[in-house]
Amino acid sequence: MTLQKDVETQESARRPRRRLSARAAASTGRGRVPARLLTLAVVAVAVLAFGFASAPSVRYAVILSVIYAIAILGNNAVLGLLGEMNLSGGVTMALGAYGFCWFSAQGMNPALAAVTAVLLTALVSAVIAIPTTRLRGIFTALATFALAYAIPTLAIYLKDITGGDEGTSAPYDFAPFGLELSGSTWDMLTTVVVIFVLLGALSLYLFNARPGTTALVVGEAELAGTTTGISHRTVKVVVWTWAGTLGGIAGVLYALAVGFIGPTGFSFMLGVWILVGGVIAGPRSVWGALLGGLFVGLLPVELQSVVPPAATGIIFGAILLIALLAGGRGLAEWIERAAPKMTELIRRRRAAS
Amino acid sequence: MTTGLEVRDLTMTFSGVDALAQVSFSIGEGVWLGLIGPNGSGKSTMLNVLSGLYRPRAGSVVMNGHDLQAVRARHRIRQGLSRTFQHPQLAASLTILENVMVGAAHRPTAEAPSPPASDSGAEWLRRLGCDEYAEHLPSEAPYGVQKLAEVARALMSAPSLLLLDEPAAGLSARERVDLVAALKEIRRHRPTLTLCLVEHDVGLVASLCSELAVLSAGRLIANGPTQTVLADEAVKVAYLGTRSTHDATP
Repeated sequence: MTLQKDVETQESARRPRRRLSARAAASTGRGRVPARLLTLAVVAVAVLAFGFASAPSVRYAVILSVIYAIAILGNNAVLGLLGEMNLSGGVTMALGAYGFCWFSAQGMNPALAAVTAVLLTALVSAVIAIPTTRLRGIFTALATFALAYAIPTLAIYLKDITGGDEGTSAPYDFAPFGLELSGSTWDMLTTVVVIFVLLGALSLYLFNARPGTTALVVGEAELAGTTTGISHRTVKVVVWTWAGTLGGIAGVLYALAVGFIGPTGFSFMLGVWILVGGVIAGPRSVWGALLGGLFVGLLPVELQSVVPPAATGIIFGAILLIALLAGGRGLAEWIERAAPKMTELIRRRRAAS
Repeated sequence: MTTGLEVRDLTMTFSGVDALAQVSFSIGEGVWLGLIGPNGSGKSTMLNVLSGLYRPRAGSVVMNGHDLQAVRARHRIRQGLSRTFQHPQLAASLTILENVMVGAAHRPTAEAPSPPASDSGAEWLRRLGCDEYAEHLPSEAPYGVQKLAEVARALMSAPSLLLLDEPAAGLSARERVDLVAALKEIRRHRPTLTLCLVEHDVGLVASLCSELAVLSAGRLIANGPTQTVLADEAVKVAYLGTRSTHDATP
């Protein structure tokens, strides 16, 4: 480690600082951290402003969207770094939500219950990750598919913990720092957005630092990783655990926002939506995860007010198709690539006029 | 303690077929050995066994006196063993320099001294003649540069044994010339480095390696000084056809 640091220090001192091209930065999702942080902050403020200005019903949908965005952020680590399809995003949300409600119901302090539920979810994710390290591509997707499919039934079966069909309620008296964390309150909206921004900033840092580099080597050149001393199994378990941790956090926040959770809230489709949200927005874009959350949580609600409910799925599918055709890495990448070109075009037109 | 590499009775079987059959040879410290043979003769299998990616059915690999049998692939870099691949294994989302730096993560332990400042990734890229692509993604760099970046990454761990798997495969004539120059530069800078070069281009191998080992259908048919091996009748028949040694060299 010290040797590595020595070499990296020599490296940074010697090589001239050059930046990745706009195209390379957009296609890899790496570099330009200050600009990406700024974009994240701007998008977060826009979501916050939209939520504050909206009716409570829409604000509630925005809150759920940001919660989904946190789960998408975690899921994107698996998709964007390892290139694996993970359909268990809903499973980790369910673990976080049920764990939080159950620990609280046992008399545990809600704050401690939240932390315990997230840690439990992380632990379970690490265990789930172990067999997935031996799987590739479609087989990983199938393994997580089975898990996602089993969760609603399991929730009904484990009645003592989950409340079965009837579900279970979140602690109603949880008000850390005097914040009213439930339903469509402004406090709830602010809290989920702040948590998303913090986790997004941390994700961005990790992605551009050594952990991200190592995970990318495992995801994109596993053999080279092995022969350069990287344990691909350890890296994969860490990435899946990170994804599970964020899923657990999303689950706790979901339980707080909804107030009452049941098996229908964590159907197989939730895992699909979390995956699709990441694909639409771009699996390597932090602010894209927020965009993906809005697609999943807000768009269907808004669409239903203008088109028949049956048509929302078709529109959603069309958007997914357009996002994939836009460059394969989602709308966030497409926007990141288009933005400099648009700016340049505007600048030229202004100069010409 | 013997230095360098010693391969003893190595046997590797795939579905009952011997890819390597009781192959034995050794490479002394600082020696560059060319491992040649026709397609399917077991050259790449040999490198995969040496680097620990394949587990042999029988035999042993001893490096600098240490038996590597129980050493996992990812731990062999700590023993001073490093390698490249026939098809460049570079992370597409990392720059060429970042890919090179991956090789510095795990250097040989204990006796390995801190590398000199000139052994940085950028310096190796400069020595190999591809530093202008340091900040480019692999997809933005020519194939020859990608191959050299792999070599630079392998050198970043300051290995005592370097395995090169067909570094000239897929390169243009011009890129081959650059490759030879780059490898000579490595020898000039790291004279104690032991090298095992798997390559189809016999002329290129002969211009770089003082010793040759020839595989045919998984069996070692010749091993020794380059010119002696190239003059060997069995080698001419099995690998070079009926051409003379003179024809095979540039």
